[in-house]
Amino acid sequence: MTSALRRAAIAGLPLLSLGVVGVLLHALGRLPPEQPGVAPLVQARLEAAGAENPVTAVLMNFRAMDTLLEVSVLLAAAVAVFLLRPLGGSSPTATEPISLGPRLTPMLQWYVRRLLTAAVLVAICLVWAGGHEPGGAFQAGALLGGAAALALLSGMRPPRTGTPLRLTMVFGPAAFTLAGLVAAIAGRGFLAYPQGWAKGLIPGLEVALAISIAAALAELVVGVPPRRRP
Amino acid sequence: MTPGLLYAGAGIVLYAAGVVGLFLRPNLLRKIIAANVAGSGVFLFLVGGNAPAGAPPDPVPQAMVLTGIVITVAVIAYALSLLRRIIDESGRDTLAEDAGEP
Repeated sequence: MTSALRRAAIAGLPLLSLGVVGVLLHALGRLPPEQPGVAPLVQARLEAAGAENPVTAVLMNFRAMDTLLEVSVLLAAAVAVFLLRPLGGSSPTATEPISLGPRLTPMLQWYVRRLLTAAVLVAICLVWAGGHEPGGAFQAGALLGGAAALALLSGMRPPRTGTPLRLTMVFGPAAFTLAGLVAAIAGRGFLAYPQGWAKGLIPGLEVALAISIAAALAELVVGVPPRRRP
Repeated sequence: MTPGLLYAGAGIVLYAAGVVGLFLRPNLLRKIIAANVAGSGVFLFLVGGNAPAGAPPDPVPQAMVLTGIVITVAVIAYALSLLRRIIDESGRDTLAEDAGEP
């Protein structure tokens, strides 16, 4: 690209973008008002879905395939980060603490230890709440992942990225897939739970997913280790 | 004008700002942040655009955004790891063809 053309593109892009914003905002004002969407449908079938919270019912039952693919994407991202590890020149595992400041201040240790305990308790509470009010595997997994980031930043050593962590990351998606396959063998199709199973299955799957999401997020927080200085 | 539409409009503006940043900033960290801003705009639009006043919100967009947020975190974390490797290998935080830009 010539530099004049390039400069024109750089100048034109914000203008083009402003135009697109104008068109979209105009379209937003002309949306047909008050579409009920699928909320009434979900409400009507909540009884059979095995969860009283409509969002959980959608995630774990009505659109379970989306959720399965979504945790697969998370797993794929964690595996991709494994693959980015430099060969040879790096530390074999991410064994260096990734905290920036001084590691051992008494205040930090006192505070983080209690905060981590609280985070685990709140995460358990969130998984449990998912069945009947806002909460569930994703919120709990994200909270645990955040707790892992906090622990890493306050000087805890990153987990060894060996077999136990990898199995933990795979556990949730594997359990979910297995549940789908069992449902398929029982005759109603992949992830279409037979009548009356959902109530028992969904909490168990949520726990498994929360654990795996937390492990994958922790691995993503660790990222790639720094190259070992020669 | 319901509050939902206000959020959806803010989502459109955020999306456009993110796209402009993605194209105009040569620095890769800024590009990643811009992509994140654009993604947040999409989520805001999805949730805000499906929040009828007075009725229970549509759970399907909510579930989609919930999973979308986790995917965004995963993709951004991967992008940051990639950026770190690029800096390790090349010593630069821009792509080669953008090296001369401010």
